[in-house]
Amino acid sequence: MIEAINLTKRFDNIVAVDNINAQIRDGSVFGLIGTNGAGKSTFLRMAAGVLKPDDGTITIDGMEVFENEEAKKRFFYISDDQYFFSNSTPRDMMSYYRIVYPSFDKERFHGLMRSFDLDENRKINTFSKGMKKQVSVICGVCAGTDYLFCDETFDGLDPVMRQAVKSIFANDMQERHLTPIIASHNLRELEDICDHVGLLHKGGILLSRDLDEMKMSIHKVQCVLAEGMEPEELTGMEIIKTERRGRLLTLTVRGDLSRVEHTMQTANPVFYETIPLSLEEIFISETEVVGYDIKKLIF
Amino acid sequence: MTSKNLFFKLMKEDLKRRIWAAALLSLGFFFFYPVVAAFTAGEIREYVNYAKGLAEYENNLVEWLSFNCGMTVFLMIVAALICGLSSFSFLNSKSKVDFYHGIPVRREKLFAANFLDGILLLAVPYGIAQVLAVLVGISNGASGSRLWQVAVAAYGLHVTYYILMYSTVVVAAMMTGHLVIGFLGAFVFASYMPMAVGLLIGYLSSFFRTYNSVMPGLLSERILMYGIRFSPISEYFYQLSRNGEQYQNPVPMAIPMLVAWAASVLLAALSCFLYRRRPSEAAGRAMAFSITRPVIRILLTILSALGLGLFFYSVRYSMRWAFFGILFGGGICHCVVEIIYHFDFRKLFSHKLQLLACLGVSAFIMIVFRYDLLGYDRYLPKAGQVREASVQVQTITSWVSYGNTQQFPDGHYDWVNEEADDYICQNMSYHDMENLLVLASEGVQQTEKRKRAYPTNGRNYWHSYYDEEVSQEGKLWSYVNICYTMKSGRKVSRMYYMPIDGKMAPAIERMLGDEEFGKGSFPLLSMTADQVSSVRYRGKYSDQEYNEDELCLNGLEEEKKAQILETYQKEFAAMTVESMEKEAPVGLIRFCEETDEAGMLWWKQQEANQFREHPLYRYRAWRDLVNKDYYPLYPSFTETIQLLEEQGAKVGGYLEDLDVKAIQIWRDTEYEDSPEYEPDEDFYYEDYGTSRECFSIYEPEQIQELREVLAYSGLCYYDPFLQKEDMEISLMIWDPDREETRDYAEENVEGNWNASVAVVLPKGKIPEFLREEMESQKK
Repeated sequence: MIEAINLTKRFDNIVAVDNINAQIRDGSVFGLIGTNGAGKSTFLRMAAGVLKPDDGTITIDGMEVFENEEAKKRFFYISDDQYFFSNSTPRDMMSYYRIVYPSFDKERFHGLMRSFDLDENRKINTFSKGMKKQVSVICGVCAGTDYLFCDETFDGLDPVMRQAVKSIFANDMQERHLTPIIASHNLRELEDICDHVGLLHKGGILLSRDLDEMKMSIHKVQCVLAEGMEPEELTGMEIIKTERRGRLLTLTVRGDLSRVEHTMQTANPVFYETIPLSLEEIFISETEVVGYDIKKLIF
Repeated sequence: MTSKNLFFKLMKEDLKRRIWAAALLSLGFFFFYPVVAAFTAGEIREYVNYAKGLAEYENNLVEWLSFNCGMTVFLMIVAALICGLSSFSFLNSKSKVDFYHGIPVRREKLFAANFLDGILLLAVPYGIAQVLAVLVGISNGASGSRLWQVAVAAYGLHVTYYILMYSTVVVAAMMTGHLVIGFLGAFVFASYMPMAVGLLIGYLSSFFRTYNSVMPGLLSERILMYGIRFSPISEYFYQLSRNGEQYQNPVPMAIPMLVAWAASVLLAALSCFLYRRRPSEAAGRAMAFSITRPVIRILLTILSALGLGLFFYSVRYSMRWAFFGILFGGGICHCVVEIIYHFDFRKLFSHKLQLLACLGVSAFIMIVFRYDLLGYDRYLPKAGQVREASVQVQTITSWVSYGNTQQFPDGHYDWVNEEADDYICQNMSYHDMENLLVLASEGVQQTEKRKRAYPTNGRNYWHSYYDEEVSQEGKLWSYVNICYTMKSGRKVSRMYYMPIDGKMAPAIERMLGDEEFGKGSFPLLSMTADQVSSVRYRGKYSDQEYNEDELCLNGLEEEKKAQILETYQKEFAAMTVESMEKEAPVGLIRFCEETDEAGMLWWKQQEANQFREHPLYRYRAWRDLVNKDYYPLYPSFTETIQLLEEQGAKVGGYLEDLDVKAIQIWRDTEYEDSPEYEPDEDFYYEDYGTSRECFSIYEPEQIQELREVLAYSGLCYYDPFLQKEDMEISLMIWDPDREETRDYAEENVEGNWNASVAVVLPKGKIPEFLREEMESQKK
């Protein structure tokens, strides 16, 4: 488990990460969402031991990360602007990573490079941005670490590659309990891969919730109520948001699905149906409750 | 993988990344050593005499391989910069920092791997190149043992100082976050202390009239010796200068090398410490540690302010210009540093309060020096505080030779000079404090008088040649350097410019009569008879050629040698100022040691053997050896003269033996008009009208009458007290040994001359006919 307690980082007068408390459990995909300047990269860099926290701690299974070789052997960090040696090839990078990551799987590296149709002996500085990201991910996956920190890694990948990477992650998660931590500003990208999501804004964490739990606890109900009935009269469920279009109501409600349905049936509406919410809509709803116009933050 | 394996693999990977540096240095050293050794070997075949050619080749190769080879020094400095900055260049890039600090390797390991690689990058190619050059030299016939000895010694020395410079550059790299800033930082580290010390000496020299830069004292010696060397490059240069022709005359280097190694270890430890503390977010910033910014800015600003302030003052001698310099120098430096820190031109006036404080401090320092608020020039110790002193009256000892003849490893002899002030300081223990303080007190008064007489604006402190006040105080002025050794052990030195005749004459007389002063000022007075190998006498002054007319008394009995030495020492020590004022020397005497004679013989043999290819022969190195260490012989040294004449010397006969055809006299005459002054704060102007007149004497009777009172000018060099008439006199002679004639010989209607000899006319001895002639010329 990676745990951040009161984690803070300042750059001169700017508080990049402000007193974050978070837990990232093993075996799940953690998505770190936020706009540019939210503190995602800073958080990941502290988790990777690149930056030293000004206050608070960040630990991996109880070990502080900064300047701790044992802790650092537990993860592979893919930066948003990943560095490759000048005039190096993927093979050269692999050779270097094998030195510092003793568990590096050389055969798997060759296999993945073939699968992704990347030439191991071609200079990386001739690769496209997306291809470079692919090389980074392959190196990260083959390093054999327990955690994989990805900073805006999916941004340069085409949809097909994105799916391929997701399937690799899923496979590794199942086989060796890899825990990817993915930072991105694009919620839609992470929707079908993340198990747990943390939303950062101006250095602070707005919410950190399990995705299934969020989906289970919030629903959208489209209905037409009986003549003269108002939504406020619907008891037994917590209405977060109401949208009207004539008599057609779209209600965002919190609560257990069965209880919601029971409540609707009891109200005897003209018509009703429950619609699944997208991650965006869940986020919007959750954060509007606390007063943030989330659309401005993440879209 | 074990930690050790990981470490060596990291080193290997780092070397792979810096293969360009290895290639560059290898190429440089390859061309510079083995290629040069092979190339210059071709010169052997150009010599008719193979042995001579081989010797020349070997000497040149030894010099090339040695510690003193200038090109090697240059390569070391460049290599230190390249390797030092490239070892940790990854710290200047965010993406590289993320990479290296994200991998499971502690910073100390990464530091050690990269740091050691930076040393190997130089040490290996340089070592291989040296070895190859030696092998090339041996294959061409040069002495293997000599080449190996020099090459190994030079390798050890150069690598030692390379590591020192390299460690300093690494510290600069750790403290900065940008390659160019790192380079500037290395430059600052290498030059700040020497510049600061140089500036301090500049202030001392410019404002403290009595600052003694030549004699050791608390400030000058310690500052020069340690302050200027507080920089890796200046320490490197200092050791190079100490060694001189190191391959010929090695100087012990064990302790300097140990010190350099110790300093390198400390710097490496400091670098590692800085690296561990360095924030990763410093990548790309000018300075990695924000706490260092104000420190560096303040130090540079004050140095610049004081430097430019001194420059403007030294040009105009005006405090207004000095303050302008302070403002300008400090302001510009502050602004430039701010721009560099922020990479933003608009930030140039950040931290205005600090700028004002720096300017204020600089102005205050300038004022302290300019107005001598510390009383430096007024310093006068109490007699009871001083244990002993050394005094150098430069005019008295201007002709004295300090040093000795030494033989060098390649067999040649040379005169090794010793600085007068060094010798006097080490050999004089003057205890007559009462007399010394009279002299020092006068020196202080003269200094204060000069300072009051010349306003600060527009006038130099040093006396004007036409200064009437100077001429009224005395005719003979001299620098007097005094170094007090206090009872506490502290040394204090001062230098005065003051008259040593007139009212100071009794003090000088008393000093000259002091045995300690005499032995400390004149090395001959400390010589003992067992040191004497031969006695030489010459009647003619020479500093350029062998003096063939010299009488060399070799093979004298020990008793005779001792008698001549002791007699001369007695008569010389008894000389007074009064007698030196009145009589001019008539000859020169030298008491040679065995090495002196051996050296002169060795050079004679080189000349005879036509072996003039010795580099020092070409540069006339033997000139000092044959012409140094002579002492004057006065007419009043009757006992010494008698002893010499018994051995066949013709003392004082040089001028008598000349075939004088005419005497030419040049003198200055002044206009009737008085000098004009244009008082102005920044400029002082004076003008004396002068002209030179010349007239010649051809009458044999007149020539003879004048010759009887003239003194040979060359010998008067040894008598600074001799009072002379203010005119230039030349004896126009016919020298039968000269083959060519001069053009002006054809103009002479009385006879031909082909040479001239400069003479002087002692004061008060103008013959009547000459006096009348000069009077008629004036009208």
